[in-house]
Amino acid sequence: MALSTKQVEGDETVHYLPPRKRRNKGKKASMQPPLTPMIDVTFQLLLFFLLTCEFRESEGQIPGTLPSKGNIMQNVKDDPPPDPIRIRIRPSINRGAANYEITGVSVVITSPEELHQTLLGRQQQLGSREVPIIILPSQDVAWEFVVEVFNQAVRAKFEKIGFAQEIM
Amino acid sequence: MAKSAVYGTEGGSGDVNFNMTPMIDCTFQLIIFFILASQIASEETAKKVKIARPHMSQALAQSESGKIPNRLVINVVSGDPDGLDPDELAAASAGFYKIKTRSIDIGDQDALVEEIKNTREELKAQGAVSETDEKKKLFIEIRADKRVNWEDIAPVIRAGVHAGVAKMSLTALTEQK
Repeated sequence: MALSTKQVEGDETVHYLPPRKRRNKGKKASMQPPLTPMIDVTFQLLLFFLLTCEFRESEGQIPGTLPSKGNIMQNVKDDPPPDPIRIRIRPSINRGAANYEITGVSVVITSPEELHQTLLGRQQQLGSREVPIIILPSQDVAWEFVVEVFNQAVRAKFEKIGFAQEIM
Repeated sequence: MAKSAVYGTEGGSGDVNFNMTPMIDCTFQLIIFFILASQIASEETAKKVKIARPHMSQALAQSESGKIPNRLVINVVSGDPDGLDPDELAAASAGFYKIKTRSIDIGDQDALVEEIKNTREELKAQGAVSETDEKKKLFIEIRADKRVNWEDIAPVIRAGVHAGVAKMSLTALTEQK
């Protein structure tokens, strides 16, 4: 018998068999849920995440304190604190760097590591971590260098670190 | 007629079915990766603020949730957040201060102090801030763009002092591991 026809028992008529039925002849009928909507939604989600995802670097906090109200310009007469270490920050010619000047240190410091070592040296010389550090940034110095000095002072384990404004 | 070795069909008239399973597997893997890796944007932190990464950073990593109830984040956004000016002159000046969803103009010191005071009252009402409990005292976090000049950031510290805030912290990137 030709593949394109089928014979029904007790029937003389020759029935035509379409190609789709011919292919599936003898195969098991399989049940499959419709995957198309799921794939559609999945791709929508993927596209959303690809477009909106933004990788951020891990942020943290360097803790500090603020002076109590009214103490900003106050001169403490009783029990004066030990001579503070004043660190002046000035921008270098190109904005990508800064110069650090520490009271009592004749050389201008340019690297954070050098600053850290100098602060450690002063701490050992004074024999105390309670010596206040006063950071005096100039008006046009970028914030990253102010954070750098604060960070190096915290790294050197100084306990009192404050900011001050240079009076012009 | 010859049978197709790949699809088991006869001739060219058969259906061609792509094997979708590996593609769906990969897609799901990607989705899971993005869901886990993405961070939901917080209203506290302004976008496009370039944070400083000091040498041997002493910055303490934030809590897992990133939400500290007694913290008030003051963002100092650069005047050129996208870094379009190659000379970085525009970036050196702050564009505005941002506290939660509110933007405050540079130079408006009173508004800055007022906003800190208002937020403290709100947080007090919610029970997140207390004047008596040391652990629950309000603290400000200065989250400033590293390119901004000190002259635009000093007013934030002054505002904190005027508002009677005792503690502050500076935002910096943590040390790379």
